[in-house]
Amino acid sequence: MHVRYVIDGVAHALVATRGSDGGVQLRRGQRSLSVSREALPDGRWRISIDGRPRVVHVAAGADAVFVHAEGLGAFEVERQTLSHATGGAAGGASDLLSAPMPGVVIAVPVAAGDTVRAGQVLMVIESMKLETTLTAPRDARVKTVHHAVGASFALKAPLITLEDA
Amino acid sequence: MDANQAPGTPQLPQFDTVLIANRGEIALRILRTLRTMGLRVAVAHHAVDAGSPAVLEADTAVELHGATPVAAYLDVGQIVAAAQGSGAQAVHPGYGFLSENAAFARALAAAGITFIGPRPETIELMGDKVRARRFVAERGFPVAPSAIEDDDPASFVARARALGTPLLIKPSAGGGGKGMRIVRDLALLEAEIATARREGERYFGDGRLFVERYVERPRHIEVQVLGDAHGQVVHVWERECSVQRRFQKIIEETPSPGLTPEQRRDICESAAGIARACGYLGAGTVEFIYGAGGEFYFLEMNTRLQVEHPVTEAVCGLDLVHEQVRLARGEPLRLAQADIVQQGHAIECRLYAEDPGHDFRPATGAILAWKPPGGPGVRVDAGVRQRGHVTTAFDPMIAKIICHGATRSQAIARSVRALHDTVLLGVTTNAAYLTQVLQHPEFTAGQADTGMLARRAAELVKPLSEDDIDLLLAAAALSDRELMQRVQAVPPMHAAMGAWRN
Amino acid sequence: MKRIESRIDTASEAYRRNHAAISAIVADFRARQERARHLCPPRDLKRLRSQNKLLPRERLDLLLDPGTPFLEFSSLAACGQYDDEVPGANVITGLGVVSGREVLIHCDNSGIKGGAWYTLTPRKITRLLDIALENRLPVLHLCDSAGAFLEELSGVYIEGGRVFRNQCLLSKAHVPQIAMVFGHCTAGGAYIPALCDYSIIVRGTGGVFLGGPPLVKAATGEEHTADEIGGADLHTQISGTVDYPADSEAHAIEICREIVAQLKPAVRSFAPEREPEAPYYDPDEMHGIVSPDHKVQFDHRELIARMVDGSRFHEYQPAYGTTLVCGYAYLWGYRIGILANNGVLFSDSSKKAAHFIALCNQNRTPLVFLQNTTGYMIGRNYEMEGITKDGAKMLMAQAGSEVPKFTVITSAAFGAGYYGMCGRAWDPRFIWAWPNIHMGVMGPEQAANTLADVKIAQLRRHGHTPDEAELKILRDRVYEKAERESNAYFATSRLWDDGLLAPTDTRNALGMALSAASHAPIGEPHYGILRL
Repeated sequence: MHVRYVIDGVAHALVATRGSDGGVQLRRGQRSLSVSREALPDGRWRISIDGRPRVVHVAAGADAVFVHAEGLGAFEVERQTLSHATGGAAGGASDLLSAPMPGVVIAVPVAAGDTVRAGQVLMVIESMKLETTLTAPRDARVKTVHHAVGASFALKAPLITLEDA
Repeated sequence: MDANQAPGTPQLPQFDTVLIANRGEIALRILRTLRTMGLRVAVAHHAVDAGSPAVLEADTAVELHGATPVAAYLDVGQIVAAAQGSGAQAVHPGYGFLSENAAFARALAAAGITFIGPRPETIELMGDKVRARRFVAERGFPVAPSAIEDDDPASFVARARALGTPLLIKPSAGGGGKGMRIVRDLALLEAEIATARREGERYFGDGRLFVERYVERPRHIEVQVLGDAHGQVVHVWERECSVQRRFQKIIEETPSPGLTPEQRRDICESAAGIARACGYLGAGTVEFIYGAGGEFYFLEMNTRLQVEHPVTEAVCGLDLVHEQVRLARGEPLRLAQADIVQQGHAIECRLYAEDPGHDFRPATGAILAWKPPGGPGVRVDAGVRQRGHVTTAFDPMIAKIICHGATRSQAIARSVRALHDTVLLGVTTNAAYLTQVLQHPEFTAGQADTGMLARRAAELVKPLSEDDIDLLLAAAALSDRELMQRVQAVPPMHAAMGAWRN
Repeated sequence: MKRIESRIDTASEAYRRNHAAISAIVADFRARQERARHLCPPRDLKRLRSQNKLLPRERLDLLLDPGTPFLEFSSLAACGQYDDEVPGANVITGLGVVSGREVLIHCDNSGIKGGAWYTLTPRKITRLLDIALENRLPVLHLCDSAGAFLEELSGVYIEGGRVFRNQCLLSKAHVPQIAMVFGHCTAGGAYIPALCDYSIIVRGTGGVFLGGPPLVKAATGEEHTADEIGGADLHTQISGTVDYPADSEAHAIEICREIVAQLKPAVRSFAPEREPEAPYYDPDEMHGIVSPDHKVQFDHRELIARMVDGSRFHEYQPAYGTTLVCGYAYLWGYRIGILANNGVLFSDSSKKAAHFIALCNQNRTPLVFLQNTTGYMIGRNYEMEGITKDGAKMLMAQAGSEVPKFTVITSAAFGAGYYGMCGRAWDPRFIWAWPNIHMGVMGPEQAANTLADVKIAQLRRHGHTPDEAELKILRDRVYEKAERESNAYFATSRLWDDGLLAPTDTRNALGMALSAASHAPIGEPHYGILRL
């Protein structure tokens, strides 16, 4: 499986596959390594790379793993998710905000043509005594405000359309 | 009765309980010594340190409140109240925070509590860098040629110019390397003075300045002194603290590899003389700038215990905190100068939570694993524990690793080994960087000056070998549960066929 | 189980001649296949890149688990048709591994004519969905098609309906389907994601609508962009037609992989019984065993020895019905029952086949048919012996089989022998042919001669008697046509098989096929009436 790890600010791409012996193969560029690990009684791991063993201390954080290798010191190895980085069409984040429930518009602090920042309040609606604030999901320009203050709307009705600023 | 004692100070005070007004490694270190002396220990702390080793080991823990954690540790009123509330008859201020705050010392005295440190007047004298310089110069000790603004503000710039380059502009109320500016081109002098003044006002609330001749490739040499209530002073030899980044020490050692025996004697006796001249009580450190030509100048005196005191303890076989407590009790010095002898060599490395690869920016995070090094000659003073957190609330020093050896090379080798064996996972540290410094030829030759780290920056970065990267990636991949789960999910026959295509 | 003792002499003249010829045929086949798979006119490539889209095979690379095999079907569909401008019938289908699951993949070939559908396109997709139904394999649809190629509208109309019908039946059979919408799903194509269990759409380029902007404008006068009519936000936020919005193609593929990882684990009806073992003999030697001339006989055991585990084979009825070899072997650890032709089918070989098929059904052994036959024997004596009804028994047993059947044509497949040995119409789970084969009602020479005779009689009736030269031209012309229409490419072009295979790829293909087939349950054996 494709994965990228960052060490000292440098990203390394790896492909991890299941070897024919049932073990783990790591492909780095043109090189393929057979890797395995064995737990040691003191909580450390013996990592074997193509049969060569080295002992490490590993601790897992939220998105990163911290590895201390004998004679080398400690390093942070951060996992990078691949999906959003590589190619393919991207039309920008959601540009249509629609009503999560039927209701009434009680405030519209923006107008068509306004440039807005992510998180900026675009509209406040009210439904069954519950006020909901709609904010901009990204930096954009307001293309259309579909309903004015006081107007009522149905469930899923388009309320604000954004476009690239 | 000593004429230097302030009125109202109890005679030969006795105490059974001491409050530590500090945190982290120094709080723990002080606590350990107090215990060996059979004293009860109270620790005043902010909630953020509630799980720290010192708080957990104390007999009494008193919580402090503040707008920020640092503000809590600087709150004189609360700490005095904490001391009274916990029944402490003395307070040890550690280093930093209120350790050099004369008002704090006075407030404690007024409450009938012993401040383990020098008298308030001494703190005030040495806390004002300009006053301190003048005091020292008047008594015949060497100071760098300088121009002090206060002497005559109108002629300040002209006098500064007359010193010649290179110059160092310093704020009078400053310290810790902040607000200092080096001037090598006199054409820039006035602009730099203006900037330094603005910074002085911003950092210290005081824009007064003085200018000194700057010693090129200076070494920072300091001397430990001890003084009792009867006017006796001894020095406990010197420490070399030239390995600095951003004017902050990260490696200290003793004895200094750069001094001849005569120079050593000169510097140490000057320091003792300065301490004697101001009637110093307790433990203190006199700092000097030492130039390539053998000249040395008084820099400042720190009227407290220093971070790097353990190296002195290692070679002299002393417990300085123990001495501080005795001296605060009014006891006389128990060692004569001739009895204080250095054996072997000691080096201290400061382990910081910071990223040397990115301009030493502080690192934060949870401490996932902490295994300090051990072995012969290794001492670790740490204030962290596993599952603790390193935050930006405080200075990012995690631990001090002190290694003693029969020779300097042995001390260096043990330090490198200890750093390699130090396991701190969860936060980036400067451990690898420190080992690079220790093994750099300039350091091993004993020629490091305060500019070494900046000058040799490129050589101190050791790139990882491909084998090392393989190891780190393999360790990360094999610990990555999601990844391993996906890899193992492939059926065996398909795994054996590999990436076959018809 | 004993190893087959090979009697092939790799130094012999015949072996070396065969090997050279067959190797050349295989090399030519691989070259044609490569060209067909990677054809992408510069104009189409430019358009895709300008739309910031990945090529179809780039999408597959991201989707499939790295280090796993992919068995592609019918890469040479439509070859020799449409001026060879629509290789693979403009769609990629195959069997692969995603997130550890074996899945079937349908990937529109947006690299040519925007992925437009020709008549053969939905037929190839339907075949894939038939495979999904028979084997209970999840299907992943990578949708990016301009819709029907306008000149093929009526053909696509009829064939297309079967795609959607199959999707419904897959869902009814609890077989999961996931759609990734990379481009437009228009008109009928809109039903593909709608009929899937899960669907994902890429913002900006994905669109699902029964009518696109031009159609809508023509019908109601409304002017909207494709995104406004059926883009990601509309369908993932308002209509609920599509489940997941994705910010990029790579993101969409990652979402799909995660969904596959959540699918219920496969329940298999059979599993490998042994550790796999490579064949003892070198599979490459198969090139020297088979002759390029399909009229030349060879011993099928020699091919079996180069495909099965350890070259081990347990032959059933070794002395009876010797023109059909029957026996058990292991392939990638799976136990299989092999039926392989060593000549024409007689009464005894037909009865042996029926009996062996019944045995394999009873002991739940999947059947592998290796075809090299010119059919059943004809003649008066054979009729008296009952060749017709014995062939019928073989057909009845084979058709009634509940165990999975797999067919590989290794040299020739003519006459009803092709039927008896589980030809296309008899629903093998997968059927492949080697590139050297010939197949048809009768061999090309026979066909040519028959046709020529008919033509000559016709000419004579109209008063013309052709001379030797004319006869030769006539026979040659008819022969060429017959040869062309009986070769492997003609058949694979028309989807009469699931693709051509190089001989040395047969072992892996069968291994993947067996694993795939194990996802479906195996019923209790029962047959129609065997005319005894």
